[in-house]
Amino acid sequence: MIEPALAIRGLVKRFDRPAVDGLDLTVRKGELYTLLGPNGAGKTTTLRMVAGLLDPDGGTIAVDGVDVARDPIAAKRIVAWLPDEPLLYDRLTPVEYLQFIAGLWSVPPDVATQRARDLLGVLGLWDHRDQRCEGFSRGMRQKTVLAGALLRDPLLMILDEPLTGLDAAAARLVKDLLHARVADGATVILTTHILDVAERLADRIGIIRAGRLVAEGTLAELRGQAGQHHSTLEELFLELVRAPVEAPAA
Amino acid sequence: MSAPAGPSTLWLARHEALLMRRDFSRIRPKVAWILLAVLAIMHLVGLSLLRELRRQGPTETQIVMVLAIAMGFIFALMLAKALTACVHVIHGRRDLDMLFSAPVPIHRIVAVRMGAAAFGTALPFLFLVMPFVNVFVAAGNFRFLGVYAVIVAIALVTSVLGLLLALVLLKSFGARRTEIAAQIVGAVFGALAFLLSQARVLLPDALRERLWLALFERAASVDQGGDPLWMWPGAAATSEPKQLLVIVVGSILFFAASIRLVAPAVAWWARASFGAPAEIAKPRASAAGERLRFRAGVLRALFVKEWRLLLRNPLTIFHTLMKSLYLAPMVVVALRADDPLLGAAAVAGLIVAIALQLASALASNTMSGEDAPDLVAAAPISPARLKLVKLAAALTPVLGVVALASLAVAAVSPRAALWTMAMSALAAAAAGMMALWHEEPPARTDLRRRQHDLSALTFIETALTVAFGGATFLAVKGSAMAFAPAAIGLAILIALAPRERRRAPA
Repeated sequence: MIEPALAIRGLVKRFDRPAVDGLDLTVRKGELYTLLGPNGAGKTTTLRMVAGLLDPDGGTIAVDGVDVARDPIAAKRIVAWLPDEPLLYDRLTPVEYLQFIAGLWSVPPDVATQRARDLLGVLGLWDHRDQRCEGFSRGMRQKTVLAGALLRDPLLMILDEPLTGLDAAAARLVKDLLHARVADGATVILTTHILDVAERLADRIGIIRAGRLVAEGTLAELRGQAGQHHSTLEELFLELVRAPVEAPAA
Repeated sequence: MSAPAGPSTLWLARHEALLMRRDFSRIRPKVAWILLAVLAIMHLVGLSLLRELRRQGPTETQIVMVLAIAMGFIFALMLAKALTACVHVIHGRRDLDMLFSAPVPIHRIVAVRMGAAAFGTALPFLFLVMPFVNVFVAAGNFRFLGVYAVIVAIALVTSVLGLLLALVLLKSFGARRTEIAAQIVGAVFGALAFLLSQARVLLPDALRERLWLALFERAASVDQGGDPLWMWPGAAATSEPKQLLVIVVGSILFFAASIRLVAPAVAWWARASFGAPAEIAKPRASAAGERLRFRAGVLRALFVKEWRLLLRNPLTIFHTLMKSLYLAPMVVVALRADDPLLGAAAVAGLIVAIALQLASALASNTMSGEDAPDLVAAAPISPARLKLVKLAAALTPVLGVVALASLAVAAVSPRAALWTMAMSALAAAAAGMMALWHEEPPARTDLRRRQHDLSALTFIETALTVAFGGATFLAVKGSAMAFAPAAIGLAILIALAPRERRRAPA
């Protein structure tokens, strides 16, 4: 049996209130999965737990069959996490940043050198490779962070709002790169508030609300579930997030 | 129909007070208790000072003169603090742009923000003098309440001067580098003020005597009915009505008029630093002229990254060296003595103190100053190992510097060199532990990182510096008393150790 790229079972995380409340989610290998949900639905909390940045209060997460709780180091080797805010070292150059990433993830030097050269070129950072990141625009920062993630050639890429603040050209570039990753067999999970992006990019869409998955499938499947065969994703999304939430089964 | 006048100054001040309260509420209870203990001890010091003064019976002129000199000293230190506070006013907090877009007169917003900066500048000094004033007032000397008024007046004046200086720095260095320039200028002011206060120790005997003589002549002229202006702050501090009125009212008028005049410039710079950072601060190319050269190894990657970032943040090292200046008088006294062992002991103590300060600065910079916490937390390395490697990267340069300095000490006294090495290692480890226990990972949304209880920790760090430096001094001199300050230092560390290990994310 082929292991899914991500298998989440009964995931629970509480802060002041439950942020993730018994979430079950499966993402297959080689698909681009988009997680949608209103603000505070638990999307980022879920993905941070997958990336090993937060400990769950309950449930299990397996990345390519590796239990994140039992073997966090092995899981982290597989996953690349891109937060919504592209945090960089202002006093490092993009090349130095990539050298650091390559060292942390133990990417062989010759492989890292070739990949860095390609990525800096593709992402339009080559001419800025020796400049410190302190003067970079948000778009350039986002692209540098993306280069760092792609440098590790991860099996699973998780991106939290990757297109926020990007201009049209940069957004297109990011979308093309993500498609290329998926075509190469990697898995991409992203959250977005731009429903148009989800509609065009995603193989499957999951809608999360109050920490639970309320709908999942391709756009056509979601339309079928809602019985609205001609609706846009926006109309479906609003319909689903407004519907009352059922209590989880005991 | 006229448009509404917008929020009043009082309304804006309440908003500012709320933000300040929130900042104070983040001080940890343990740190607050330690500060209260320090306050209690300072009351005892104040009590002994009162007894001593009663025994000596100084004249009124002498009291006013000492207070005037103290106020001058406070003025210089406050100017240093006000400068960095004013730079922070202009482009430290991101809400200024939003406030300026509100239908409120600009000068009103700047006045409230500057008032808060003045309050923040005055607060540590009010805290410092409070025990002494309390003791004197409790003994019936209510006139010393004037000290508070003078300190607030100095805060208002220095805040305006700090703001003017900040604007000059902004014009000269641009928005991005002004924060660093302001900290350097501020630190230099502070150090100069301190060195001036230590003139009695640092100056050659002949010059010192001439200065004392000039001061006595001034005092004599005051006794004969003179009223020199430089003594007015001292007189105001003893609640002399004329001087107190002039200083308090004068400072308020100076503050209000200056803010009215410079508010547009403040608004312009605040907008410029938010709106067009790329135009004001051009990106810097790396000095190294990087090539695409990748090397293997997690340890190497972490060490190289930490060292690069430390080297590119010379402010940390500069601050530490400035702090070391404060120890200069002790060494000068020791070196003037005929006993070479005394000199070696003083230098050994100084090296240990500098080692602790440097280790503390580098370790907290490395541990709390992580710019990409999510990135390193998501890396395939255990959190414990990650922290250990980061700490090692921060402390290795300190031990290197200490080793070199100890070689110089060894030329005078090998025993002193051994003590220097051992105590420096202990002091650096203590500083590392402090940085580890009080690591402040930034909130994901708070990129600028608020300084929480940093001042309180600085105070504790100073106590540890005195304890370990003092222990080294005594140990090199061969005194069995060396164990006492070392034990105090270790006791402080144990008191600060977390009772319950926080569970780090895997």
